[in-house]
Amino acid sequence: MRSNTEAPGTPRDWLQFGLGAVVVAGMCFPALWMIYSSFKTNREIFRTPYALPGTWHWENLTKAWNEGGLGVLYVNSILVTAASVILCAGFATLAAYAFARLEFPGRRVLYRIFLIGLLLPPPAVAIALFTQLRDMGLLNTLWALIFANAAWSLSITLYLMSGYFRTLKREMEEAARLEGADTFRVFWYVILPMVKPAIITTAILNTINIWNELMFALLFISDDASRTLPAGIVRFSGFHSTNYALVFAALTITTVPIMILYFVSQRHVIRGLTAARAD
Amino acid sequence: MAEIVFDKVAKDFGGGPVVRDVSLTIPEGEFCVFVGPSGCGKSTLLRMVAGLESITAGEIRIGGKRANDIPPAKRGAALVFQTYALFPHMTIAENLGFGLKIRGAAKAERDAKVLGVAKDLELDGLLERRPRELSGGQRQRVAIGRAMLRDPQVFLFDEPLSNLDAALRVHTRLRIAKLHQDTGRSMIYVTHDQVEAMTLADRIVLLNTGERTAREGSLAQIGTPLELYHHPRSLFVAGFIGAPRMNFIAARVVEAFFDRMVAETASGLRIAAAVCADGIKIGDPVTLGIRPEHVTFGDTLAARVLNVERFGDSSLVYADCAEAKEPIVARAEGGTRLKRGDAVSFAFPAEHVHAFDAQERAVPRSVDPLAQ
Amino acid sequence: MAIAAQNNGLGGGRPGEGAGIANLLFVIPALTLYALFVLWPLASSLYYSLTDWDGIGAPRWVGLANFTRAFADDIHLASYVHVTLYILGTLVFEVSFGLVMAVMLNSDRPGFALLRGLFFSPVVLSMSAAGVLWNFVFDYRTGLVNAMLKGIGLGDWAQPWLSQPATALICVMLVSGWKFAGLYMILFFAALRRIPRSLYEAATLEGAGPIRRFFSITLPLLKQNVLICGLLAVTGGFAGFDLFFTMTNGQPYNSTEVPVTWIVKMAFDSDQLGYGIALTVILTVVVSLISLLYLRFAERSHAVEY
Repeated sequence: MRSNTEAPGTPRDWLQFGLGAVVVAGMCFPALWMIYSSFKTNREIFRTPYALPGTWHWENLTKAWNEGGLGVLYVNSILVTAASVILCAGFATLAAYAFARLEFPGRRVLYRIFLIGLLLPPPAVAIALFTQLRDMGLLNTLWALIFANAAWSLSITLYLMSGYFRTLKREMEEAARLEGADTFRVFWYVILPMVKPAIITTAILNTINIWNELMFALLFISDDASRTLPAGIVRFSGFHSTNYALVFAALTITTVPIMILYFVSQRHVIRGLTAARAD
Repeated sequence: MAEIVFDKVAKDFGGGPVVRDVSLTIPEGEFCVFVGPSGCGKSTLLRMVAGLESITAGEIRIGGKRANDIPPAKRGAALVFQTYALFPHMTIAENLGFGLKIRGAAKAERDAKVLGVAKDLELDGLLERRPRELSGGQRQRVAIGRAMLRDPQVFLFDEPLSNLDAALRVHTRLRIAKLHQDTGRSMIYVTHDQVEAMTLADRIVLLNTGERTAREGSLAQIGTPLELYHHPRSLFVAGFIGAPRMNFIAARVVEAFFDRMVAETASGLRIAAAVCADGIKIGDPVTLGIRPEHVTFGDTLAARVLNVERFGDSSLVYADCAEAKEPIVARAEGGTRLKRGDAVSFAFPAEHVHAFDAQERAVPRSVDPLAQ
Repeated sequence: MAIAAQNNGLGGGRPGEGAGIANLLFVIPALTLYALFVLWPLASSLYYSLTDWDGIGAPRWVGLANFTRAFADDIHLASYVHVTLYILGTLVFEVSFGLVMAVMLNSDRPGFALLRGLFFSPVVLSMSAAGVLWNFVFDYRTGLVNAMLKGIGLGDWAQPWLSQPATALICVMLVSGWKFAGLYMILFFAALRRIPRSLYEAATLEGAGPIRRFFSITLPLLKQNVLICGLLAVTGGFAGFDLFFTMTNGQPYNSTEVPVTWIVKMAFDSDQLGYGIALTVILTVVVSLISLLYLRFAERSHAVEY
């Protein structure tokens, strides 16, 4: 039902838009409800669940922030996400360059091995990884999450980056080599600037995934000081299961930033997802 | 000092030879053009000189030194790519100065040299732009400028004009010819366009493709443009050099005497050719060839005009006849009154007729237009 | 297709500068990380799955005992039934719904891009936040759903949605659909964009209406994308954990138990790490087998060229 763009606003187009808008509004309502309910009192939420708040109780946010220790959770989540994303982006870009452009022993086999990770779900190793991290003394530290998340993001990142490398012409690299640049300088001066868009795209995808990661966070961290947001929120809502306003406030505080990141970088997110899966 | 020698060079990507048995010496200061149909390995050969492609067998010597294992940057060769290969994220100045930077030149020296070359190429107003903001011709000049800054022993060009429009091609061709005169350096230039080859080359290397490569090696013929034009060594060379293409007619030898031969077509038409008749036997099949510009209007071959292309200074007449599968092409004066459907009659002056034997080898001509 | 057809992302095989061990240096960092935290635990799982281990003492070799136990463990077996039902649900609520929405929101008119962006937004929300939010929506006493039913005079229909076996799993499926339909919508939308408009114009000239155009052009041309999205839903579904954990954690009466929630319970709540690890091995084998069969099947039915 691809609409023809030439003719403005035939009734069918309006019907299409109207129907779409109704569905989308229905989808968005729970999240909106959560956001505006976080400014109500509990009593208001029970009595008039749909209504906008009579007075906007901004103090709910501060209360949730303090009682949930959201500050610590936030800092941990930021540290874990940033470190894993950077680690993964750097390692995967280096490796993708080698796989796409260089010759070395075991190149094909190693690439296949990396691709296995595309089909493996993280729970497949979760328990064994838990004992391993414990033996390494990393349990209850942010490093556990950083290494695990970075390693589990490698396959898809490497896959996307090598796909991008394939679209790049070799001539620039050859020109640089003729000018006397060695392999590393070709990488640094020519490749890296040219693959920047792909690095940004994959980094944003990984940021969203790692920011939201729950299972590793639940299993590897039992210490309040190292907990990240998703695990912290589950815990917090368990303690305050009857205090709607407080839980909603905490949820709002934790979800709004990632939503903003999404709306700002929508183009990258969608490009990355479609390159990853639909091509 | 920068003589380039190919010694039995071959290249195989794993699916049979692409380049085979190339032995050739390019003396210092020569402008040598590699030309041939697509797939003949001319770019591969060039990239082997640059060091971007490994040499499967044989040896390339640059300035007397075996170059096979010398890394690309140390061979003293600069390559201008077909797609220019400018770094998209760098300004024009950075693009030009990249090699100097890699080689560790001080910033002041770099800037001075870049500015000098930019002025030469009328790029000095564009130094802070990026490649995508430049026109095709300007990008091409940057690519040439980058090669000039290398101050190489040999310049390599890989189809540098094929992404430019017609007017710019002529202009850039002149610029490259001037670069050759100014620097006096050896140049190897790859193209599939025989006009570029004829106009630029001191010497042309025409390369075989496919099955012919396997049979007789990569080299079809080496020579000056006029040698290839007047004394093609084979049917392939005769057909490749010259536009429009040489006319070919199949025939059988009926007379062979000293410096002259007469052959008869299936329909009984007799055509004479000024060739050395030494090895020719009566009854041998031959292919006769004559260039459109040498066909005259006479009474030998009756034909019917299919089409007339008018260029103003001259016209091309395409005409159908019983003797040849393809239409015969003749160059007529600009004002010719011939039109489609007219009956014409052609003549083939014997001193312009080429002959090729059953193996498609040329029979040596008994006249030499180059000696006159 | 990403996973299916391009069996490798290697370049043309023309080497860069020499074929050296030195080039391996570019791969070493990634390989180390990957080997330590993906490959090694995968391999050690195989060993631990053959042991009885509480996670503290030394593992005791028990051979295949864990696996015989797993195939006699009713809850474990039931968890695969639940996850299969859940996957079937996601094929409807995520993949099919996403496809329909992709077609509906496929327009260049102003406003549609915003609708697509909003429709996609739940995808970027964390699973835990989504789970917690929907727990409140489905709450018996004060939840949004029951309040809405009361509001339209159907108060009798109010249900304890998440705490009765008949509805709990369906609720999780619905939330999963809410969360992920946007992902499939975007994937299908990108594929739709690649279908040349002329095909639709030709069909319209032949007198085909919108429904017929969907079934005779859109769907056949999206076949490959539908297959890949199906694979994503299936492999993703088997590994499902976050939503189940935050919404029901297997309750009530293990009626929403899925493999991963059961694994976590066995390993951590009952301190049977050996058994838990054996269950992860089974999960890995199941997911890999299904992926391989699926890819084989998908490869056989080639993509349509257009």
